[in-house]
Amino acid sequence: MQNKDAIFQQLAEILEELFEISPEDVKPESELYGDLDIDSIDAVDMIVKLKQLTGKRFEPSEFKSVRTVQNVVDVVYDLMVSEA
Amino acid sequence: MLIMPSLGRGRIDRGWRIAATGLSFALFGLGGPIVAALISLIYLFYALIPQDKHKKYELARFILRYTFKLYIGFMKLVGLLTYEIIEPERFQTPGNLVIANHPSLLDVVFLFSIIRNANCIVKESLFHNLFTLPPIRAAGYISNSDAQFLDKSAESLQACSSIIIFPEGTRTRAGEPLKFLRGAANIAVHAKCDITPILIECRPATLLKNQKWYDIPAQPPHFVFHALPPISIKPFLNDDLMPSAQARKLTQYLEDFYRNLLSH
Repeated sequence: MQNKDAIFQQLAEILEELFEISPEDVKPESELYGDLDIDSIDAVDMIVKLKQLTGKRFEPSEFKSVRTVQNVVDVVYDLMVSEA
Repeated sequence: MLIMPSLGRGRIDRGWRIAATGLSFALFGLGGPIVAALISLIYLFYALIPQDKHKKYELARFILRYTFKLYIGFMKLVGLLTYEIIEPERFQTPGNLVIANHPSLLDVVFLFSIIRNANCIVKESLFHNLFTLPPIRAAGYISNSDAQFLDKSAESLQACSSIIIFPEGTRTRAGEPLKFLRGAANIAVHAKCDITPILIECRPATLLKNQKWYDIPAQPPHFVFHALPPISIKPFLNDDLMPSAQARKLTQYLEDFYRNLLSH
């Protein structure tokens, strides 16, 4: 998971596995709440999965201002780079 | 000519019911704040008495329940509606998670008049309103934006409160496909509790979304509240899945369950 493309792929897999969202529906600009029907409870589970896959520790508060898929990718990327 | 008298009576009856409907709304508008003020006073006293909070909530809910009972009783008395409750004992299981479809504005009033010690999930905005905050606090209602809303709901069920949820999140929009929000299922998965489904029927339809208050049906509506056998949570608990995924499967089941009920 070194680059944003890889993070995006991982995220799409998580969304499919957890919420049965088809990978074709997952675009960088997709809104989590509006387009993908992901609520705050779903988001907590999604963050748990991201932690498992990356081995990094995330605080849910770091995802507070996240709205789109691209936002999630950026936050994860920034956290990984800053901790590297 | 022979039809005329009954037609005339029908008009008088309808005129009376429009007036009584207006009066009912006025009563709700005037009586509501009085009861809210009363409960707010009790809430202030609560701070002084050392007692279990769930016991305190029960008193506020008792007052609310009988206020709603009185209100429904008034509307029945003046001929605005009739109703029946099927399987009444199923409504009273302590620590019950109750879900219902939501055809009419009165569903909330009815369910809170029927179910003992009822809790509910309310909009966050009502916590920021000076008039609604004290009664909501007194009754121990839970905010939908509370980060601990699942834990608080489970704790409330544990303390033998019933939680009433309309999974549609708003009144049913006639003609639109049924769509459930996942809150009720999330609570059921988190608290590992069964669900009691209520089927509400209201014929003819009245007080729909986007309907004017005086636009009343030709006949007074008849409400039926039917408590169906509880839905077991066991088949939906699956440690291989994340809780949110379990809740999604349960929501899908509940949606299909109601779609099937309502198509008959």
